[in-house]
Amino acid sequence: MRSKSANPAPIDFSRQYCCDIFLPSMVYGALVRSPKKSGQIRSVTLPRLPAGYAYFSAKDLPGKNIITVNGTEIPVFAQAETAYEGEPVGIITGPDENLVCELRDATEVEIDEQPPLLFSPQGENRIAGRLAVFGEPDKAAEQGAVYQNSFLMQPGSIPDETYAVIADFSSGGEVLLGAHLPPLLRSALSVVLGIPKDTLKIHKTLSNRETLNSAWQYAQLASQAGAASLALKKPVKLVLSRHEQNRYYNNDSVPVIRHHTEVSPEGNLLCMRIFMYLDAGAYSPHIQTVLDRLVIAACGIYTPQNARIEAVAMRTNNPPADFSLNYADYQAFFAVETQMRHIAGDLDMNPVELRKKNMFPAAQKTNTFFCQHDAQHLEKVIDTVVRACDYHRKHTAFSLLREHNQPDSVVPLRGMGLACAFSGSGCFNTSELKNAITLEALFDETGTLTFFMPEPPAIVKNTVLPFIRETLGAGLANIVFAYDGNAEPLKPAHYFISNTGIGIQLMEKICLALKDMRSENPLPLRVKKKFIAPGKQIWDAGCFSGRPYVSTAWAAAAAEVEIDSSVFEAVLRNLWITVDAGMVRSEKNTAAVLRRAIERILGKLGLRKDAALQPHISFVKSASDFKEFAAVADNIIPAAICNAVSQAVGQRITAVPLDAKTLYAALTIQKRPAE
Amino acid sequence: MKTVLQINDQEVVIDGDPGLRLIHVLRNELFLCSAKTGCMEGHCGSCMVLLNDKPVPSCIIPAAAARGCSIVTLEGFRENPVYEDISAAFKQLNASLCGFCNASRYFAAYAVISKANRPSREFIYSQIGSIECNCIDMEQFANVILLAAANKRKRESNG
Repeated sequence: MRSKSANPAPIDFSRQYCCDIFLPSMVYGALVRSPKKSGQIRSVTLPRLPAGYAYFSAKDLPGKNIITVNGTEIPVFAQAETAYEGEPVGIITGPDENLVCELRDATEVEIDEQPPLLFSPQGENRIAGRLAVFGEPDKAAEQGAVYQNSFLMQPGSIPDETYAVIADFSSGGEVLLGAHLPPLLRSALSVVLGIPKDTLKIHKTLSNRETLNSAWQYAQLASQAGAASLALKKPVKLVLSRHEQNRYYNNDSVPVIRHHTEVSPEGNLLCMRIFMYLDAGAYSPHIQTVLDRLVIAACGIYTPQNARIEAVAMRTNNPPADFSLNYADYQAFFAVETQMRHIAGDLDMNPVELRKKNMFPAAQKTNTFFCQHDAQHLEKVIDTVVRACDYHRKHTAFSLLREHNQPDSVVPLRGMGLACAFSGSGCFNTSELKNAITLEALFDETGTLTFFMPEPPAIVKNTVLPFIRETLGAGLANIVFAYDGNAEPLKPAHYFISNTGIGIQLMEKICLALKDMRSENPLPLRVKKKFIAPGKQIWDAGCFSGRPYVSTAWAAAAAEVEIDSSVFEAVLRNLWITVDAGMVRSEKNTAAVLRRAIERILGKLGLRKDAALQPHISFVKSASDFKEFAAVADNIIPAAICNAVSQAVGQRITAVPLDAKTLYAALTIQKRPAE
Repeated sequence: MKTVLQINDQEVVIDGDPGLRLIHVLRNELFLCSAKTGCMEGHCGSCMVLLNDKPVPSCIIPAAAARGCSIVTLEGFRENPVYEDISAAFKQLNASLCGFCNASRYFAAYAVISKANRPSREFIYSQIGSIECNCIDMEQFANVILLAAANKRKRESNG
């Protein structure tokens, strides 16, 4: 067997996953967790620890046992009481990873259990809320037909690296981890370990996981491993098991969304009352951002005459809820789009006509709704997808198919579903755009174009790099991203993650500027471009109204689904998507980015699809700046599929993923009257 | 209990629990990290290795069950000329992988072009459906396999 020292320590960590890195004399850590949701910790009984193995808890921390994020104080280790099942209580370290896990499993944590906080909309444990009112929703009550529904959308996850951290405080202070969060990590480690911020070196390793919580969760893990490393004077590696990751860190909180819609017989939305509530778990420093985005997206692409939208979050004794960056959008769009399908069905109205009647107007008008968007191309987007999939004919044909379907019919049930949504880039309601976003690049004599920024996500690379190569031509040898994670001043934490559209715009502008300068100037050339967000005149955070995003990409999708009634499974037969993404430089590359996003959400929904299914992707091009659009796949596809299944089975389906039990129930209910 | 395994053409003696999963031996004992810890249920493909020249998920195979078999990880597969055929195809089509699914992609491509000299697109789709990661899309991956098969044919005809 090869010895560990035979494996040399790598120097560049940026292309490696943290879990694949092994440092000389490194020890492993495993977290001892609370077995109960709520209560006082009475004792922690450890098994006999062999030589070389140790246990550390809150009392061993040199500094404070607290990480502060957005004003929320989160303990590094639970000390006197526990706030959720699985909360870290201590860390066991040792040279053998398997033995460390065995010792952790043999550790007993005794808790004087207390009744946990429950999740209910009437609960007193509300920690955040947002209310938006437009028009006079209370006076408008009960004017037209009323439609009420509750919606649930819970997409699954795709395996990737679990959280992993290596803390090395044997000489100085070095931390290796997959998140790009120097400011938070520095302050957290400094407070917890009592060391000066400037002595810390942070190495970003490869990672595919970015959620709103990942920043503080990584900081918490780094503090736990760091405390052990500081005491042992050895590198400590802490890797979460898949079970820990899924249960305690990726706790998908599914909001309950209740729609109460009043519609005139002509199909005009008179009033929308939407109430959304979600379980935030024990700690949720970003919950207000999530609620705000839920409210902004709640009415989808529609402008009802009156609206009352409320979102609230409850603190419970469940693990902290995990929110992806566009979590709020896809939940809200799923609810409103499935609601629109039900309304169209009940009014016996064409779903396209109903949508067009109530959508954002193309011309910008003030006071149309509490949120304003540039919807110039929205109608064109809907028309394009409707035409591409032959929606009207198929929708009518499948309706007839269902109505005349007999129990012994060999003709399969099919359905067409339509959904529309938007994806906003650069949210004015967050603090990220308070300062100008600057990007600098150097084109040197060797033909290397260096962007001084962290490695951007795949969407940026796949969209903009081919354009740069085309524009700068043969003189461009290489494109690199140079960014020292330890450099000061630090860039915003989610520099190109939540502002992808802005990032792409800046890179494209730099590229075009270099092209112009190059004809008259010798290399090296240095270019700096800046994005300054407009201020309060665009978005009024106090009144919670105005234009919430720098740019809005509109999208529509149509899905064709067939029900396999032998196994009660929905099979996706075809999918059409049209997106208004602004100036699309390369349709092929942009479509490839969207195709990946589609495959990702289809994978999460666990839907069976034709093996050779190729989504039909088209773009409505315009001269406006590039708009971030990859998230639209998440926002429209679940609703489009759900609507298609609803049509196929002739029942209201209001939750995904669709399992055999749901479809069986829907199909048997449908058959009962005939029987 | 001592178990002798044939990994990447080298004999390796493992002293430990015979029920230990193969992925743990590869990663924690031998530092062969191309096999990643994914779903640990055998369906995501992140932990793929070649067992007697067939791709299998190492997360559901006890190390002791692999006695007497030839085990090849992506590190060892680099010595195989087909690795270059596949690797060149990824580069030619600008298909950059996330690093987590590399083993499943390479071994899925290898399995396809080992079975069919000129694979059809339908055949490829029927073989690669189980990969859950989507850092590249199915169409792009199918193109990579078609190009890798062409690279292999070209190399063999030249050789």
